[in-house]
Amino acid sequence: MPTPYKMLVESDELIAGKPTWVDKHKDPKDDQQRLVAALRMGGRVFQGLELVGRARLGIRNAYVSFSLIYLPTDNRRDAVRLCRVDWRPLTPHVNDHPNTPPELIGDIEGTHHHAFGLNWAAKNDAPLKALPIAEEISPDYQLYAELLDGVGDLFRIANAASLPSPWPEDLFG
Amino acid sequence: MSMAFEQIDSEDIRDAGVQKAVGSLVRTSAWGNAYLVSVPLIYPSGTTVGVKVAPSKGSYVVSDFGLGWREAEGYEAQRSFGAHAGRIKEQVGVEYTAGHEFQMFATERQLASAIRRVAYASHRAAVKAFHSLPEACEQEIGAALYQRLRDTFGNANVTSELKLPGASNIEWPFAAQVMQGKRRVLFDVVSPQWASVVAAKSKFSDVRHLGADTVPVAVVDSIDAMGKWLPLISQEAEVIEGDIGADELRRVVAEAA
Repeated sequence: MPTPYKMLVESDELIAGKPTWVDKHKDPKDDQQRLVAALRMGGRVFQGLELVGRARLGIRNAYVSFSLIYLPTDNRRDAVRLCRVDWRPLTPHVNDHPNTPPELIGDIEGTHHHAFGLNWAAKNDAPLKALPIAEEISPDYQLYAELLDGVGDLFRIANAASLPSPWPEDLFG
Repeated sequence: MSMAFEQIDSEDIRDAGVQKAVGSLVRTSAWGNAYLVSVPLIYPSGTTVGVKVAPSKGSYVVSDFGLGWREAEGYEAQRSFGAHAGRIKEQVGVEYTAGHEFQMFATERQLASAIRRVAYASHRAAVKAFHSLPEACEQEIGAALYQRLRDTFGNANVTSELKLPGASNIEWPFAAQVMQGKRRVLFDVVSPQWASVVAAKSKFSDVRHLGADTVPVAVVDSIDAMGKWLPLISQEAEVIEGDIGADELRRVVAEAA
């Protein structure tokens, strides 16, 4: 039976446990941060379903992404990327995949959502593997806390606002 | 009438559509004393390739600022990105740092070339990493084939997602197995990539040493798409396509040797 990706995206989920931002660098100049959260559906943590966050310590309040991915149990198979939000990316996104709906063709300068539905490939019974099609998020999230609220709404994760910040607390706001 | 192309500046482009499109191909944002230049190359996810240019002591540090790495992380292909980066840096003549950035130092004279080379290297490594991912449809061959095997040979004779130790005692995963008396036919999915083919070749060879009753069969999405890998895999196993019909499947199980 094909994996019910649509069900995974459309179910209400909750972040399980207390995920943290982790840096795994050998190079002190490398400031990439990664967060992985297991997700609960009702009473159980759903096998293989993860929320993955990415940020850089040196880039405050921008260049953050959150993705929903599914890791099949069969380790010969690859992670399946379901959807992603890019908050204030450093370079624009360009919608030029052949499956792009005509009204979305073109560039998106800022925050955008690689939505599951936009990237669904019926032929493969799975999303396009790089999720190349996105829609603009407007108005943009002004604060990291607003981004978390957005992730909560878009990915149906009610307690997304509980996620920690990748940056040390900024006393000056 | 002959017509020659005359070099003009972008502000002299009279057609508004052309001017807008040309202007969108290269864009620059400032960041402290550095610049982020986005170039007309797109990573597979649709993100524009960007290069950071930082003036430093009379010359410039040009880097992809880890954008390529982040792109590959987006499809969980970091390891593959790193492996390709190691090769690509040599071909392109740029550095690849421990912080996962393509980087090059340039004088003012070399700057445009450095921007092109760093952008090209970053884009190429990300595209290579992207193409090393299996297609989702290949991933699902196992499940579809399993269903067809059960329909054809009966549920009791078919096992899926099993592990079997080969003659070396190493345990190998297989997508499915059909038992016909003493005969054991093992199916596994192979895609046209180094990692998949080399692993399959090892496991097929290892289980063949168990004796003539154990027969591996390679299942591929498309025989044509296997390209150069096909002869390597067919040395060890019969190769079938995932959507093979029931009659042919019966023949394969009965005759494959």
